Amino acid sequence: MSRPAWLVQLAAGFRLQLAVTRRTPAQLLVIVTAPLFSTIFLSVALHYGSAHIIDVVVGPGLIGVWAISLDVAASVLSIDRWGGQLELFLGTSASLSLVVLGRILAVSAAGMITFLESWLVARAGFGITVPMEHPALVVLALLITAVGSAFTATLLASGFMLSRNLHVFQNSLSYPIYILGGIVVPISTLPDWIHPISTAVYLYWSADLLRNAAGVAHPDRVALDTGMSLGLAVAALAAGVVLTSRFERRLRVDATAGYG
Amino acid sequence: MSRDRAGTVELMRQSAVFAIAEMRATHTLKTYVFGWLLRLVLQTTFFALVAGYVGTRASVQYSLVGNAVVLACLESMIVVLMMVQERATGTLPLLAASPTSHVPVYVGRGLHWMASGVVSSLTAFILLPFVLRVPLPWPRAALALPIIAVVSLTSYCYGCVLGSLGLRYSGIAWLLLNLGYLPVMAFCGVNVPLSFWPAPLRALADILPVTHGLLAVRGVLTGASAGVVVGQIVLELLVGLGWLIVASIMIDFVVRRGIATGSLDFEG
Amino acid sequence: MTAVLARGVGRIYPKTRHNPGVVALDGVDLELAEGEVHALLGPNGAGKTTLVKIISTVLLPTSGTVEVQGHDVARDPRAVRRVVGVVFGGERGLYTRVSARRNLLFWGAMYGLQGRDLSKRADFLLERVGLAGRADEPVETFSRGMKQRLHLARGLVHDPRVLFLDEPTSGMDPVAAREFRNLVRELQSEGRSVLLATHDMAEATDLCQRVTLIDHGKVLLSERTAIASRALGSQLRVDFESDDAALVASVRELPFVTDVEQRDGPAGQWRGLPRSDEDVRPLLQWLVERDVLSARRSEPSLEEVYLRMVGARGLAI
Repeated sequence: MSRPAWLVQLAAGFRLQLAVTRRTPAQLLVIVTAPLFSTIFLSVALHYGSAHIIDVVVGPGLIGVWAISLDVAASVLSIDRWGGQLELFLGTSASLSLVVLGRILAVSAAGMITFLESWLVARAGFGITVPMEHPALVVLALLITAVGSAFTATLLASGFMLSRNLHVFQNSLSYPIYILGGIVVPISTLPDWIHPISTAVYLYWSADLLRNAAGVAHPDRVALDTGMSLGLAVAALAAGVVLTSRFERRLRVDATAGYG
Repeated sequence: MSRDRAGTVELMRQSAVFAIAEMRATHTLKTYVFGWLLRLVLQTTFFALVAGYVGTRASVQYSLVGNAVVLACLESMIVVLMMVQERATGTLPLLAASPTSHVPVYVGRGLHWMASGVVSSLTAFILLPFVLRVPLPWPRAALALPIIAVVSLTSYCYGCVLGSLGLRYSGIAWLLLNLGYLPVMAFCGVNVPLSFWPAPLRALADILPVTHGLLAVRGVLTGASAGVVVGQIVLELLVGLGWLIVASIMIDFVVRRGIATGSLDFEG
Repeated sequence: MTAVLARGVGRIYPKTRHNPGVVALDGVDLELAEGEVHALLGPNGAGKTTLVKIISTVLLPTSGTVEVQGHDVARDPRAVRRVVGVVFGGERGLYTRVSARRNLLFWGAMYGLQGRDLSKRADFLLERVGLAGRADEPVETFSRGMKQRLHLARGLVHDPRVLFLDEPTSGMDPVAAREFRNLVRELQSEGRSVLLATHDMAEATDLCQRVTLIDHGKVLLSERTAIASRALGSQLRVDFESDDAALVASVRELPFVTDVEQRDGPAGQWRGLPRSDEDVRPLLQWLVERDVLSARRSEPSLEEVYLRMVGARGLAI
């Protein structure tokens, strides 16, 4: 009973990253800092009258998954490059983007726990229980967020490798995304010109999904949210695959691929 | 004794020059503005928007002011990473063997971040009220600018203490930075007033940087009396001095201990 | 069939902002016969690693062709990768935070192995290179020799018929190095072909049937190890020991001797250079008659060949 090659490579990357992260706890920093973020958001919401509690509980979970994915995406390829693993990898016929995706997925999945942490901070720290109206949908939404983050981060990983400059913009990919994705503050409260840009960010759709799953009695946009979120993420992954093979080819031709 | 002091100043100057050169090497103007400054300004915007969403327009300004000022703290605290880096480059044993004190070298290591913090903070403070349409009372607001510089300084001293912990225990630099900075954001009156928190947390906030400086800034903006404002500034300076003294002792201790136990060449 | 056939291989690194342009390889021909262990000798920067990278499809040549077991590296790299195993040396290339076993499982999966086959193969290789006892410990705790053995296991994970070893014993202590060489002999006895890049003369002489000497990207020599010394064109010499300066001077005066030079090492070690191979015997006789019983015939060593051809590069690289 043999699995297809792409799955083998994806799983190999996933398992490798689990083993690496177990010994490099620094990669899980986001999970340690998440409760403090939750505390900040919750304190603001409660100070001003506890409207929109759902939003501030859901927000840190989304931030956690994205932040941890971005973090590992920025480092996984460059560490491998300077560590010599990339050279060895070029001697195999495996797909670099699949392995990178597998590795990022492991970390993105771990990031889902920040949502639970957020819920617990609300409960234990502030005495607020956010009722999970549709727990199965919550899990689905979290999974979609994790997968979407991993796919998008894979695109970024290859982008970082192709251009040295892009790396410096890594910092700009956190808060702008949180704003554009309507992670805590819904887009509807922001100026109109932002709306079209937001719809291109997969987080916008999965944030909506997660909010609805956590709170609203009848989540009616499940199909749309799921479809858009995954669709955008898949598009990002496809672009990432293309960029990664360009990166590989450049390595083989130049042995430099943009770096000195 | 005066020769020692001159040596100390010179050491710090050298460290600062080095640090600036390093910053120049990492950033062009474009990458600094769009890769770093923009991110910080948007961080402030994000929290201000959250406050506006759950509260009122007044909440936006409250949050904006707090988050703009705390940017100075954030950047100053990067000294934690700089100090640990100094250790990782293996210069610690060399420094320990030299006759001068190592404290100024470490302390001087991240001075440019202090300056950078003031710039970011001021940028947010000046620009965002217009963008988010909650304008501040100028020219009175200009008085906040030197206070922000003070906050930057006191946060730097706080960061030096955390950095010395990072010298002692390897691998926790980022943890120290975040766990040092996030409580400031949470409890020091940045997003919600001090009165929101229970007494023990208020006591903690009292000895952390930003708390008093921010109260001074808010006092300036609301037209509080000079006495009140100056009082808070003095408190902030005292807090900073306290952290600086602790930092000095701890750095010295870590290096002495390293010489005694032979752990100095352990790379972080 | 030849295992590797390289013809006119050239590799130029283009000029960039950070590097001047460099000609790493220039018209290199190389032939690795089936079942042979072939030494690729040369100083640092000679182009050995570049050549190994090209043959293993990690890098593309800018000119020339390379065929590995009949497959062209540029046109059919997948087929080449299936039959080629690479063992780059040293610290790089291993995931040091995780265990040896995890490293092998990962790389095995990269070569298409999976499931029970993969774990059995990993176990087998760990046993074979003598790492079974430490298989589940993080690689960062391994010694240099152990890391190198893991590199070898990694290179063998897909059972390649052709192996490239890039300075595998550099930095190893003599015992570890000898054990490693035994492993290489075993591999050869299994019918594998091995290209061994090295600058250890003893290793090349010991393990390899053929040697290719490369410097500044050009092949200086490609010959059977046993007769590589003939490349110097120089012939046999007569080495002897003597403290008698007058005797040494007389040897110089002999009509069938071109010169006498001092050999490296302690004083009193001489080398007589006869005019031709036929003059060796008379010189030996002459010396023995004068009670210089240490006189003996000698051939240039591979080291001398190397030093003579590569020249006194010294530290001025």
